[in-house]
Amino acid sequence: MSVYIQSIKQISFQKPLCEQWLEQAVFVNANYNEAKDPDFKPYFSPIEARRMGKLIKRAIATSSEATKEAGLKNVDSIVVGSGFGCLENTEKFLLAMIEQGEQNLQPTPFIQSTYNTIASQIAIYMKNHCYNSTYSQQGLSFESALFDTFLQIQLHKINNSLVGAHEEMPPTFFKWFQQLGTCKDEPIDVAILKQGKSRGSIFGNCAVSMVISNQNNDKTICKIQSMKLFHQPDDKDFYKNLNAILTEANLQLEDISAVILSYNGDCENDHFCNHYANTFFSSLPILWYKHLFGESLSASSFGVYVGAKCLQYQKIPQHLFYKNEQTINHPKNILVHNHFKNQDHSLILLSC
Amino acid sequence: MSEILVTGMGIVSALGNGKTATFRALEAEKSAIGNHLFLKTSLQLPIGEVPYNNEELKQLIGYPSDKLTTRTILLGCIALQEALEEGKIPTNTSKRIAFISATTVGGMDKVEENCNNFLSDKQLCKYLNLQNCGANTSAIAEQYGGKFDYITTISTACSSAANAIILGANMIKMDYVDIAIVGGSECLSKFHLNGFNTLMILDKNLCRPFDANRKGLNLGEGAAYLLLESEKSAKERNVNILCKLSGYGNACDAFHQTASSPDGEGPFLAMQEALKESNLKSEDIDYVNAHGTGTSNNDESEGMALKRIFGNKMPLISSTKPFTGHCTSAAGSIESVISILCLRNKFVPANLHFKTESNIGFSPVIHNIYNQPLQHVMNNSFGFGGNDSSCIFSKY
Repeated sequence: MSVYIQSIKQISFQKPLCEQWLEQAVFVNANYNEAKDPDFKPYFSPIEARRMGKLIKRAIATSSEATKEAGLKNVDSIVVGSGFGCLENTEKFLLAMIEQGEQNLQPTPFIQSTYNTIASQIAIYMKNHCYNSTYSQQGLSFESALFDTFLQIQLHKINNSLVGAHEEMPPTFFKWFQQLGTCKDEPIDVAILKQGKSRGSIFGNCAVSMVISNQNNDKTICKIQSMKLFHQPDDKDFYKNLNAILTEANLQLEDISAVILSYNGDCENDHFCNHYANTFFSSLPILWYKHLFGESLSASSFGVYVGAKCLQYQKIPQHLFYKNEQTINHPKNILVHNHFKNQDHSLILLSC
Repeated sequence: MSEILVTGMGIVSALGNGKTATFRALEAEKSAIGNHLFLKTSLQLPIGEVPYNNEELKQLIGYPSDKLTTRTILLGCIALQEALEEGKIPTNTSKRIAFISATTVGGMDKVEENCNNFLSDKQLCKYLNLQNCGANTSAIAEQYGGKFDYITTISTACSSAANAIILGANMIKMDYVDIAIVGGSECLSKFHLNGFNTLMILDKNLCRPFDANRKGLNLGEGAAYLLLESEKSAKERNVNILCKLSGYGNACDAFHQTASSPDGEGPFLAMQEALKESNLKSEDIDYVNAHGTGTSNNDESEGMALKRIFGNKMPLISSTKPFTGHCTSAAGSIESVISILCLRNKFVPANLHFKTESNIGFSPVIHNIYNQPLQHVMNNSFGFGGNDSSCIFSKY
């Protein structure tokens, strides 16, 4: 059973709902970047918009555009991945509860704080009664959601699915994450970020929505050959999974045009990326994307987005290369690897 | 297609630690909901707390006393350990195992307790690493000692654990794994107790699901896991088979973020799908362990959906939430374990505190029933956001 990506839409600190970053990427000197929002007027009435948090607006806008671009009126399934859920409302309710000593709290931030608010708001917006679920598995939340859709298509339960990955970073949580060391203390230039010499990454918001289908038609962006999710691999396990994903697609490692890795400028993370790049992909061009979209628990959805768009537009812009830069005229197969603290891993093979 | 079997279970809730304690407490027809002992809240509301503090929980499983942890993690470890023991899973098994856990609260208990000091105390700030759902699942998974092949977390509010069951079953069907350990863990937190309180859906007294005078729900906490296993694997291992998972359904009410539709569309679709998948007719269902929270809105919506599914041939129905409290993300697996205990013991637990039939038009089981032959039982789990799921367990 083949699985295809029919459309992908993003909102990030690149220009929203388009692929301008392919030609004209925004390079920031920052440790946090708010997303550049599109005009939300086409999607909501002013009353609706007032009630919704930004994350929900972005999730609905990207979902709505992705569904439209896939040529669908509705979908057979809605699955969202989110590592932190609706963190802005979580922060609001948490701080109010502590400051006000559990008195006089407003229900709205609580109602809009749960992880599944996102998928359910999308369902309400699309009047969709189909399968609906939400995954929250740290840095592999997006892959967990995508895998669910993979299974459902393989089981012939659905023909298509809207898969989303959504994160936000409100101010108090941002300060706490700086204290933890997962975010840089100071703004940082991309060239220095790439050296990966200090702790912490640069944070960004994430809104990525894609339509996955079992149909290969004129809307198809690329094929997802296969995906592997695995846990605490040693090099032998990693090789086994890499080998399996290539074998299933009937490909050799040299057929891979480029490998997208999850470099984020945090020495603790990049150390593992270097290990996998050097051990398994030493002869292949290595790409990264978090310098363009920022780090978040769902950032790997941008990895798949970037890979799919490179295949669709048949080019790999120079600013995506992390190392082993080569001229690639016709990218055909792109492998996306992601890991969270070297514990949970994913490999996703995209082909055009 | 080969069957999905249940070959192990673990449970901890206000009713106690383990299946035996749980079943005894059900037999006693006594609610475990009461005043709070461990949760540091100023709200005076009845809750269903697991009767051990965190230090006692650690001692029960030999958890390192100095390791940063959350109550969700500790409860999860206890239930996981019992499920692994019953299912006889060694740490060096050659079977492919997925661990799929559900939570929404995650480590919020420790964040709300310590966040005022996060910026001044780097050590305390590390609790932030344990806040999100997945961090709790990964920490619970460590209790196994062996290596799971796949770990993930579902967070669909009060139907989370039922959706974990669904994912596990789908993974076994597609032969990604031989065994899926599925369920959820959720501790009480001030955050969600206050949240539910702002929604004015908490009963100040003990909850009365489906009663005409019901005033809301009581929150509870706990964890439960089921070992789902392919028929082939269970036979190879020659392990005791508790029952089979014969069907399941997931649908979305798509009505309102915190309210259920008056016609119960989401619950209806979820139950209908579960029946279809199991190739059963509605009259085959002998007992429904209802979601039955005790809120005006849920019970009316679920009641309407039950009537649409079962017509005038209502099976035995009860909500066991008056025993345990509403254990939110863990409710789906806690009540699935209870349903399976019922199936195996020919037992139907009472819907405690029910007195007056409402306009929904049916009465749940008022007193425990013994020696009731049960072939198929259904467990309903519905959540905020209209995330509705239903699972059917059958004798094997």
